[in-house]
Amino acid sequence: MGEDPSALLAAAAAGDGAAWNAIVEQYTGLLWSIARGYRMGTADSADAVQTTWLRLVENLDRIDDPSRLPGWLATTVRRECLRMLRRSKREQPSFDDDGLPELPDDSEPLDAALLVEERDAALWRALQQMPERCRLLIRVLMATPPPSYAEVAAALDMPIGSIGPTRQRCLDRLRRIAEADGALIDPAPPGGGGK
Amino acid sequence: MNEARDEIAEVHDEALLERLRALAAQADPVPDLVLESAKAAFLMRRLDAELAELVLDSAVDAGPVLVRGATSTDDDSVRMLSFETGALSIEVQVTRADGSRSLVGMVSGASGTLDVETADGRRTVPIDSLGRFAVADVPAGTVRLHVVAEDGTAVTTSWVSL
Repeated sequence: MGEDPSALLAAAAAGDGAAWNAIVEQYTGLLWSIARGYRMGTADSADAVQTTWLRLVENLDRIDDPSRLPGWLATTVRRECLRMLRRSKREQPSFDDDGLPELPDDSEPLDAALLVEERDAALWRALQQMPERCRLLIRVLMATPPPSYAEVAAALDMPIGSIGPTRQRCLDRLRRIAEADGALIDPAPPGGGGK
Repeated sequence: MNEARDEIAEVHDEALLERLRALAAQADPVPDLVLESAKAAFLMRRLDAELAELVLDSAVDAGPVLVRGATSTDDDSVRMLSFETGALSIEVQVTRADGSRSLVGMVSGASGTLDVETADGRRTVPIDSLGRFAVADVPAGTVRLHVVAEDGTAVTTSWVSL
């Protein structure tokens, strides 16, 4: 899952634009998934991601521990998202106590219409019906390239040890919702109610 | 408890996540513009100016109800930002109107000029002898301020999304 960003960061700090581009290619997918996981619209997601990259540019000379870059990026974009959400919460109070929207907004991250396969669309619908915390975790895990648990922990401000068990619980829940929707999404896990 | 079952369940979980990842890549990919802007961010680097960090942002630091002595206000259209560096501090009051922002502020410890930098360009306004400045019609989006004091000292603020 990508090389240690230390060498790339050092090169970028020394002015190497190609190294900077490589960092951007590696982590923008994660940052985008985090913003979308928080149900930010396209324009707000773009702003949050761009603010994160600009923050890194202005701090390029002052990074103490380059190996922690992914966690720093994930934390920075999460804070920016929460700040924007808090602001819109105060402007239009339709959010629950987590600062997360209660209802899907009009800027659904995934448009089911773009999914040709009915079983894909069904899986997408199931994802939208998940409890907010689960949907957020799964959307972050959907980033390309796949994020490490350390990156996910930073993105969601969760203990790293809880990511695995929560992931398992949320995916089980997703399967149940999808199956209730009549979409067989993959073979049932063994022991999970065979004939 | 049942390790063999857990292992198989783990394989199933990976397969399902792989499908979900392909779904996201198909229907919610990172827009090209986001990638291009991120790459271009490198060109915004300033090596010649000290960084003034954001130390207070009323959109974050105030609770749901803003209570500040007798001037308590619920007016969310006004946002206060404070930036600080060793040499000086910058206080900015941001007023939101549809699609644009007005900035009124005070630089303590310097007069000179102030650039408002956005993704699209830059505007320069004077800082008066009392440290005050005002800029209207700043487009919504990511913004930073760049102060050049009369003695040549240069300070740039963190980027903020207004």
